[in-house]
Amino acid sequence: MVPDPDGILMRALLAPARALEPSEEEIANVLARARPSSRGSGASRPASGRLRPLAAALAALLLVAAAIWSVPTTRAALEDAGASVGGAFSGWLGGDAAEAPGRPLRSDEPAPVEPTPTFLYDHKAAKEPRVIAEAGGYKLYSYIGSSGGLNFLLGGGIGFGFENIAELGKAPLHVLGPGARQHADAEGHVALFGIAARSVKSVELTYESGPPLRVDGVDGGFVLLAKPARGPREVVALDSHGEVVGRQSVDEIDWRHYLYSGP
Amino acid sequence: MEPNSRQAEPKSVAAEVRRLRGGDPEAAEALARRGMRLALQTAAALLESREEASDIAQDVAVDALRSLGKLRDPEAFDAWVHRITVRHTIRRLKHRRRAREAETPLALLAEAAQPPVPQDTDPDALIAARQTLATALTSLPARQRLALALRYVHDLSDGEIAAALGCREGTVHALLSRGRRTLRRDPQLIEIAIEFRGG
Repeated sequence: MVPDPDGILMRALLAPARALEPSEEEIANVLARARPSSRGSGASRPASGRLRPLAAALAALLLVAAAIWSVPTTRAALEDAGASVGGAFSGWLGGDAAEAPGRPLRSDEPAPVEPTPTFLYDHKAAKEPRVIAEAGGYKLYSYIGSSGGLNFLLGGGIGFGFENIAELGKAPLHVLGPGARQHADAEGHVALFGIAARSVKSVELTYESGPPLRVDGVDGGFVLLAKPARGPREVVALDSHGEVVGRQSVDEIDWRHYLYSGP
Repeated sequence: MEPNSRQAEPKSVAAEVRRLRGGDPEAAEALARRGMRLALQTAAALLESREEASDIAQDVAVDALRSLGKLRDPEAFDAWVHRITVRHTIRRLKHRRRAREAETPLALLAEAAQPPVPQDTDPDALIAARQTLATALTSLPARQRLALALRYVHDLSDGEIAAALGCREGTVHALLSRGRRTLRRDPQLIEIAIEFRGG
């Protein structure tokens, strides 16, 4: 009888293929690339902490949609590159690393809260990874994808991909949304991520009452540690003279999901 | 032959598809993971390279998510992925270059789970056998290789393979038969088969 190589033998020989599982990095890359249909979905997850990726991603989606498809600016003439979010990233995407916002990702990037997604160190999947902004240990990462698109990671959990600069529109800021964690810290803050034009030097998060949260030294992006219990209203963009150059409502975020009732 | 022994979860897959259509990003992640796993396993069986298989699997998963609106039956997600995988893999096989030395040969990959193999199988011999099969598979036409991979990696039935390949069940039967017949003629595989069956 001629032995045949099918059945048990074939399965045994193909066992490595049968056992393969995609890595978190590969999944994150897929989600970033599939963004138009998957609507800004979760990438690699933080190792710990309570997660609300659904609420976070939906909020982020709504915010990005609002920013891109509406006209949220208060200044009429925002045509030059320095006044639009796209302009903040166009030089970098055009090949001029000196024009890139933020700073390069370090090989020993400190990650006190959320681990830095390991695929950011894969130069094939993530070219020129950078940290655009950070606060309280939460970082807004950006990198150029394998297809040349611009990608953002909100901490370690939510990813956005833009095929080209035009998708960013001409607004001076885009609030990308909260990260995947429901609470950034024991005080109930929520990390709120966004990107901004070169002309934006500071951003303020206003509340229903009380003083706003202000962050200076903005260089292409920001991370705001918001207080949901105070009723966040909008993010205001300010230039070097303190003049308001743009604003975006954060009403689309259902802040009830982020109210902190203690550990 | 024992097709259809896989652990299918049509209801949960359909639920994920419906959730994604409703805007749930967690469902996107679940479907991306499922789609990529299916495509990765198929492509890895044919391309010998984890890296090359990953490229295809990512393209497949992205296509599947982006075109999910065209999927009429949410329970057919897996079949949908297999079909996209076939399309991408055939395209790659037609235009592929030889795997770079830096890439990881499939036969050398560490295993997460061991299939039923003889207890006294020499691990080195098993790896060598896998390399032999990988080499033998490359001699087959693309559709025969795909049919064999879908059968022995995913345990698909003739009908399911036909749906993935876009052909009749009878054609699948012929593809599998021809593929197995060619492999049986490989002297190295015959030797391996004898060893697996205890001589």
